[in-house]
Amino acid sequence: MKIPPNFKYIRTYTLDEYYEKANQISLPLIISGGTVAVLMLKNRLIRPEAVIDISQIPELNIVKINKDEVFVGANTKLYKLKDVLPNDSASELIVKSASTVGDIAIRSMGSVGGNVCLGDSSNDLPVALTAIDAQAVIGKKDGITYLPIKNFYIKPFKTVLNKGEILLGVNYKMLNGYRTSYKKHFINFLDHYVGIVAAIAKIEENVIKDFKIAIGGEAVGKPVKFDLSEFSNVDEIKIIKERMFDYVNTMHIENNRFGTANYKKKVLYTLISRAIDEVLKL
Amino acid sequence: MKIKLNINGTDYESDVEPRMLLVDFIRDVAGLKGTHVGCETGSCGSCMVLLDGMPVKSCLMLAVQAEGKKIITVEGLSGKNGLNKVQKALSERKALQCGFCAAGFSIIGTWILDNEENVDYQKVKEDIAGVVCRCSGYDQIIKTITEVAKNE
Repeated sequence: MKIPPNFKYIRTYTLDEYYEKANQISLPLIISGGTVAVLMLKNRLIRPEAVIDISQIPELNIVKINKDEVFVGANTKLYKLKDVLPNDSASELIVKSASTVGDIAIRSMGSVGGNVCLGDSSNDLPVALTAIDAQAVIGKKDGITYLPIKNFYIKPFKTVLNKGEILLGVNYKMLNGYRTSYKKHFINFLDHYVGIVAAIAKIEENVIKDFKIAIGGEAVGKPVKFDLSEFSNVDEIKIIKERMFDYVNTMHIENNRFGTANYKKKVLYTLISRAIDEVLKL
Repeated sequence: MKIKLNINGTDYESDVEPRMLLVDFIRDVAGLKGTHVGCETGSCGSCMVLLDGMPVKSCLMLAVQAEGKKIITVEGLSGKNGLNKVQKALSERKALQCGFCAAGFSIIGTWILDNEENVDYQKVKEDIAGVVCRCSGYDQIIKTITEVAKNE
């Protein structure tokens, strides 16, 4: 029987209350859905002084659409995304990635904020959000800052969030007429994703107008984005794939219990190749 | 910490430690032993309950997080007429063997019946992915839930 260590539990109802409490506590653990956090507590991987529950803060529970910009509050549950996001290509990629998180009982608890803030390289949303150039909306006592998601991570399980700060949500521009692809490779018994690839491309009359790929997963660590818009012809698939394979070859990928570097590179090649085929093949 | 939960229509008020898991509250405070503790990592789904109508794994949730929520456990699925449609079908078609996972499959099957549209084998297969059966295999379970849903 796994029992978490002792901690104080603080439920906050407003952002001001959160800022006050978070600054008072030396080692807080912030939870919204709490699925991964509770698992880490049960395994005693973390021993926070207090758990701060932010699920009741109304500002974090909203999805706002303003002209071509979308704000998704950090508390938005992953299963709800397909119903609350607009019908554009960027949202489609987010929904595709969110729908692959765990199972329905995990997605019904898991939140956008949790998936983004944990910093686990296996998490899905960071890769999709990196591909669409989304921004993290960070709240602190004296204001709000916006930061590209690709700059949000320092290393696995470490984000730029400082004590007393909070991820209010993510912001992105709606994209229309794009093709999207989301691929990942799971090692079941290690409960980890070796590679994750999100691709988004706009093609008009066989001409590539815009093309971005983000890759993540355990092999990569924090998500990395590649802009492939320099290629203009969809017939250049072979060259595009070779360019991506070259990128992967130059990356520092470790041999560890998740596999050899060679194996992980081959997984990435395969996922990238499939994603490119899906968005570029007419 | 005092919390109040509604489980299967009954209010339970108790002073609990913040670290108490929802599954332990259900089993030890409310005394409803139908919700099982299996893997304790959120993989097996034998602790699955409906929380405000959505399936959740009660081993991955603190009891204090469920404050004020409505919970349905496997005991709450059956009504005056006994087992509900999913439970009855799982039993009649011998879809389960040892029964340890029965709570999870009954909960998720009932949720599928109430919430999913155009249910087919593939959809049920995806939806039940969070519940693990280690003896009978999944084919008969998926077929049973699919058939019940199609006959709705």
